[in-house]
Amino acid sequence: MRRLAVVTPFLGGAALAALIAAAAFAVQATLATPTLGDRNGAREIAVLDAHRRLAAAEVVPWSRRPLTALYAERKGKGLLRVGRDRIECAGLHARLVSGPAEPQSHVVIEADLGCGQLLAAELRARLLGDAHVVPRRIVYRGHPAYSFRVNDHGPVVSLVVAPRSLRPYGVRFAGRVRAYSLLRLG
Amino acid sequence: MELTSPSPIAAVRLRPVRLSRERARAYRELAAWWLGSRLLVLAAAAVVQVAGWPRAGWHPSLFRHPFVLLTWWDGRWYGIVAKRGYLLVQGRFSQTAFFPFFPVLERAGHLLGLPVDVAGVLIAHLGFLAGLLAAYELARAYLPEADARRSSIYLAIFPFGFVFSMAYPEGVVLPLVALAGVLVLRERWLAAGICAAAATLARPEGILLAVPIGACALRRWGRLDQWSRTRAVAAVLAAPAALGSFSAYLWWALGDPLAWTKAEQAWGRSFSATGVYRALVALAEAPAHHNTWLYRDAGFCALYLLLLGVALRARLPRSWVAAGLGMVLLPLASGSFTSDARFGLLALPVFWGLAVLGRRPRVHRAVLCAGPALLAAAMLMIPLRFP
Repeated sequence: MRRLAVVTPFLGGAALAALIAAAAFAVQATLATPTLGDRNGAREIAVLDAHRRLAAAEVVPWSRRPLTALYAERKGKGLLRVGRDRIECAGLHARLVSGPAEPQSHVVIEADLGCGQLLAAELRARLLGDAHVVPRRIVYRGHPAYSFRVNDHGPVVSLVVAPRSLRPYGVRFAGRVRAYSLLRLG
Repeated sequence: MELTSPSPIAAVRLRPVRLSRERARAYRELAAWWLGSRLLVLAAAAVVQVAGWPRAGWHPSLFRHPFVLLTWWDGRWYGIVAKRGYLLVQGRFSQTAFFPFFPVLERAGHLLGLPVDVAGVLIAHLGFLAGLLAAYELARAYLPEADARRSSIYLAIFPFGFVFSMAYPEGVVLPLVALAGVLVLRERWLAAGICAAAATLARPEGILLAVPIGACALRRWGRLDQWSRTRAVAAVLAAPAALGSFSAYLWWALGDPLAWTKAEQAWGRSFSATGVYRALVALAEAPAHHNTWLYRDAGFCALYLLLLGVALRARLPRSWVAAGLGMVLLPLASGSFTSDARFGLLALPVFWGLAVLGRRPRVHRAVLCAGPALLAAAMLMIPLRFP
């Protein structure tokens, strides 16, 4: 009986604390919960981040052969080679290092088609902004896949990924120029 | 130096809860200090924005985005949590490093029609006013009235106190910490536990409130009845339970109960046994990494430790000093001094120690002169370095 008197406050106190925790949980549950698309977008960034090398074959309709884009990250900056052009990618910025002078928008498009770091950064900016990541179920080169738009402004850039692993298959670009690139993780 | 202080139990018994004339006068004085110090912060923020410090053209117009400075840095992250909830991106900066209570309040303000940023700054300001009054009430239990009043005045004009005007949770946690202390002395155990839980949901330092609450419960255990003991145990466990509820929420929302510690790693923080050593190494290597701002935080850390020492010497409650010590030193175990100046603002015994030193008129005058000047000057730091 005496032991019960000693134990009761601790059991009762723990139960009351659990009630407070439940109320705290309910308070937190008033926050918005991420959509499945946003969660997949976050996972996709981790997939892109996990691979520091990315090979891309860029395909434009008027070209007979696909251009080969090779991407490698060195000291936090990504270097993308598209033919003879070299593009440096850092965060949301893409800069033409060498090659014929091009408008900045073209440089960004080129980079988007082959730079995993830039794709991840754009996806991240979307997740932190007001837009959501909305996956669309598509068939890509005969395979079931998800496609989600990575950018908010300008021509549509969509990342095409495998449904479960979210491994990137390629990037689709649709503006005045339609093109796509095939991605291969290194 | 006077080292005696009334016992907390006697203080609670002797002083009526109703608003005495002395208390009303103190409240008015503290409200005036709050108003003056916040006007100073707002004016400095406006000057920095209009002057375009440190780079012209970087700041949005004062008329379009008034006091945008107060919503920068972590304020943006809390705003994102309020608008979008939590999302964890492994290895990158993520919202899950930011505790939920302040964004919940921002969201509530938004539902009432305020923009999230405005709601955040408004809540922080009002919370700070409540915090100054509650801190005064708590200090009165341990210090003579003049010292208690001085401790809150020093808090109002403390140089790093500009954080209490930003869309940061410190403005909300301060009144919760002080109220938990006041309520526990009045044996309002459950209310104290709820305050401790809310403080923990806003900042992880809140969990350290379990120390003074536990010490008070232990001291009074013998004369408590069963039901009071039960509530006292609940009050002690409330803060850890709230932390557990945050993990449970992240598990439910993101499938990862430790998402908040993982997100901290992206900021270079991870708790380990060698954390303090890593923090000291980082401090030594700060100039080489162009991170001399770390000395600002290390300097404030040293000041806080000194003032906690004064509080201990003045025989202020050891449990509160221990909690304050935890608030100042535990972040170092994550491997960095970064932001320690801000974390220490919630350690109330620091300001009790300063109030004890302020019994000397020369010290008092020096604090009253230097405090507001440094507070205004500190606003210049916001565009350069996060608090």
